[in-house]
Amino acid sequence: MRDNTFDNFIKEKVNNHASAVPTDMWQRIMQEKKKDRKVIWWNSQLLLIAGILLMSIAAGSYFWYNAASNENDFAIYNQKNVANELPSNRKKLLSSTIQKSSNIEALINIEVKASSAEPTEKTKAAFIRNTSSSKANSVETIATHLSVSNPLFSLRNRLKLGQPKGKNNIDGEQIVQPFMSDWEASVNKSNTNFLPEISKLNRPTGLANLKTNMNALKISGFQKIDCPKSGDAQNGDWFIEVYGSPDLVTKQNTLNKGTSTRLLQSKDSSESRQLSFTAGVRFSKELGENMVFKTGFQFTQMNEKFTNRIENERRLTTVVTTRTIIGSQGQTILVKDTSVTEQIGYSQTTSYNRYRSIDIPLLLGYVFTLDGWQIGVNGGPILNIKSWQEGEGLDANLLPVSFAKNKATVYKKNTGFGLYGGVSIIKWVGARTSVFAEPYIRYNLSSLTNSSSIVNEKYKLSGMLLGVRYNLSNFKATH
Amino acid sequence: MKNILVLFFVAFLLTSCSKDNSVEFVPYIGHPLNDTTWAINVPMDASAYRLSQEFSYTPLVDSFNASSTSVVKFSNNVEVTIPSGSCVFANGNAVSGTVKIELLVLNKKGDYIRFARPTTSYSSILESAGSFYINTSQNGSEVLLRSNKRAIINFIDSSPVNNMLVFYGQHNPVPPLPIGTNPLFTWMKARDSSRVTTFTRVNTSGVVKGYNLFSGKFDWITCERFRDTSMPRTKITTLLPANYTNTNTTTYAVFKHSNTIVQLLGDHESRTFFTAGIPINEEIILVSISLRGTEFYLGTKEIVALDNMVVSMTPELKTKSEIELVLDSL
Repeated sequence: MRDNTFDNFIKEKVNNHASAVPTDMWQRIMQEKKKDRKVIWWNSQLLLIAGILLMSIAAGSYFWYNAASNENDFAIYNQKNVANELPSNRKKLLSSTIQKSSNIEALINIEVKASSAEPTEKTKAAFIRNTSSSKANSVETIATHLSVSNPLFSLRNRLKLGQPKGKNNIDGEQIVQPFMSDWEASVNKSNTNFLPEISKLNRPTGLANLKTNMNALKISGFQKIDCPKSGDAQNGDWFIEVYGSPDLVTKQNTLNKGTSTRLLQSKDSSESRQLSFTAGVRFSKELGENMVFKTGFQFTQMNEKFTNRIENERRLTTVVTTRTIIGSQGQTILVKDTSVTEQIGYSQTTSYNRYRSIDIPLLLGYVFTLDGWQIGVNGGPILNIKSWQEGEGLDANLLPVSFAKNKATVYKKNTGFGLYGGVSIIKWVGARTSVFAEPYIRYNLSSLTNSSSIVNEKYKLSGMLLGVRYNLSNFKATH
Repeated sequence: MKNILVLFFVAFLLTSCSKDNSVEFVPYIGHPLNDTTWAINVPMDASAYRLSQEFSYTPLVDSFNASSTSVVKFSNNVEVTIPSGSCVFANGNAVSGTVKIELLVLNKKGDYIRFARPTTSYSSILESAGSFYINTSQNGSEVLLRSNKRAIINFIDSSPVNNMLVFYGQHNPVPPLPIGTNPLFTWMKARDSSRVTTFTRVNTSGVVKGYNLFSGKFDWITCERFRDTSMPRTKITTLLPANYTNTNTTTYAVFKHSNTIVQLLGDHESRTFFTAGIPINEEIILVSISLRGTEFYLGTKEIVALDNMVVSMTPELKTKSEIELVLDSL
C-alpha cells in the first residue's frame, strides 16, 4: 500500500486540473498563421511532401527542444524559494508549453528537489547503494528521481518502479510522511556508509519545505489527475512518429524475357546504387501491454547513378582560328576562319536516377523495456500506393533510354506489397517525447518493372530510421 | 540528437538536389582522327605519304630480249622500243636475254594525284603530255639503260604540240629548294640528248597522232613543257579544319584547262596548305585527300585564282572508290 501512496497523493492533488490559456495565445496563433501563408508556393508534389516532412520533423524537434528547455527552466527555478506560490509567468509557461500532466510532474520535481537541495549526484548514488528491501523502495524511487538529470524522465521511472496501477487518492501528507520516514530510517540505519554530504542535509527543513510545497500544490489549483500506469505510457496510447532514414539499396536484375545475359551484365555495370532515403509519418497505437500497431505514410527515394559509355562517338566543334599568312609579295595577311572540327571519342552519359514511392506501412510490433530503454521489434507488410521513376537506363539494344514520371516506361506505377522488419530503440527525452532509432530491412516482393520488360528489377532496402515520437494520448485524457 | 537531425537534413538536401543527368564527351587521346599536330618534317610513314600507296595502281608488266632491238607493246597503246645492247646492270655489265619491263602511265590528271607526281619542276609549273614509270630487271637485279642509248616511248595524243620536253623524276631534290618545291619529288629537265617528237600516222582506225619520247633513263620520265603565261602569278592558300594536317592530308590544285597539277605544300607555321605561282584568273579545282586513321576524306572546291587567295575547305568522309571516281573525272 505504501507504494501507492505517492501516486494517490498526486492524483488527489491534481486531478481534473485544467490550466488557464494565456490571454495572448490566440494573437500569437494568428500571427503564426499569417506568416505561414506567404512562405512557400507549393508547386509540386515532391515539394509538398518534403515540406510536410520537414514541418513534421521540425515540430517534433520543437517539442523535444521545449522539453529540454523546460528542464533547464525547472533547474533554475529550483534554486528559488519554492515554498512561495508559483509566479504567474511560471504558470503561464507551464500551461502553454507543456501539458497538464507534465506540469504536475515538473512541479513535483521542483518540490522534491527543493527539499533536498544540497545532495550531490555522488551522495545520491551512495544513497541508492545503501537502500534495500521493499521498505526502501520509495526512498530508492526518490533517489533515482534525484539522481537522473531529466526530471520528467525520472518521474516516469519512479512511477514505474514504485507504484501499482490502482487509482486510490490519499492525502499528500499521508504519502510524504512515510516517504520521509523511510528516508530517515535508511539514513540512520546505514549512517556510517553515507558520504559526508548526506549528513549535512537539513532534513527537518527539507521536510518542512516539502510539506509546504505540497500545500502549494493545492494553492496552485492542481486538483486531480489521472495517474499514469506502469510502463512508459498508458496502455492504448496513441503516438505520432516522424522519422527519416538514410538507406542503402540492393538491386537484383534478372532476365524476364530472352536469354541475353549481355543486357544483364551491361545493366549491372552501368548502374550503381547511391545513398537513398526514407522519410515518413506514422501513428502507433498500443495494443495491451507490449503490442503496438503502426501505420502511416512514408516516402522513399532510391537513388541510382547510371553511367553509360558509348564508344566511337563523334563530336563536331566549331573552331574560330586566326592565322597569319605571308602573301605572294611577302606581305602579312591576317586570316580569320571558322571551321568545324570533328573529334572522335566516347560519350559518357551520367544520370542520377530516382525511384520514388509513397507507401503505407502496416506494422505490428512488440515493445519491452530494458534498463530504461524501450526496445521494439516491428514487422509487417508495406503497401505501395504510388511509384514513379525518373532517369535513364539501358534498353534491349543496350542504348540509353530515358524514363520520366509522366511517360510510359517499363516501370510500374504501383509495385504492390513489400515486407518490412525493424528493431527500434526508444529513448524518452521528455514527458511525452521520445526519440528512436530503428534499423530496418525492407524487401519489395514484386519487380519494379512491368511484365513487358526484359529485365526484372527487385530492390531491397536497409536503413536506420531516426525519428521523434510524441505521445498524443494525454490530450485525450484531459479533455 | 540535434546534430543527427542536422546531418540528416543535409544528406536529404544533397541527395535531393544533385544534378540529374549529364552527357560528357571525352576525345580519345592519341587517336589519329583527333590528331591536330603539324609536323615540320613529315615522317615517311605518315598518312599523307600512304595515300599514294592507297590510290596507286599496279604497273603493266611485259618482257623483251635485251640481245636484240625490242618493241614492247602495252595494252594502253604505249609502245616502248629498247635498242639492242642498250641494257646494263648497275655495275655496268651488259645484259643479255629476257628482261622484265614494268610500265606505269600517268595520263589523266587524277593519275598524277594518285602517284603524287605533280607537274612541277621545282617551283615552275609544267603542262604534261604524259608521264611514265619504267622499271626493268632481270632475275631481281635492276637493269639500266646504257648512257649513250635511248629508249623510245611512243604514245598516242590527239593534239600533240611541238615544244614538249623530257623531264626526269628527281627524288629528294637537293636543297636549297625554291619556295613551293616538293622536297620529296620534282621533275627536272633532261640535260642529255633526250627529246620529244610528234608523229602522225594512218592505220586501219584512221589518223593517229602522238609523241615519240626519246629517253636516256628509265624510272620516272615525263613529257612536259613549262606553262608560260602572261598572267601575273599569285599564291593560293587553303584552310582546312584543325585535324587535317600536313601529316594526313595532301592538297592539289588541278588546272581545269590544261594537264597541270600543282601540289599545295603544308606550312607548319600557319597550319595552311599553299602554292605560289598560280596564274591569276586561272580556273582550278582544289582537291584535298586525307587519310585519318583508316578513313578517307575528300574535299574539292572550284575556284578562279585571285591575288593571294585564301580558300576554306571542308573535307567529307568518303570511301576509297568514291575518291577514285572523283580522281578519274578530273
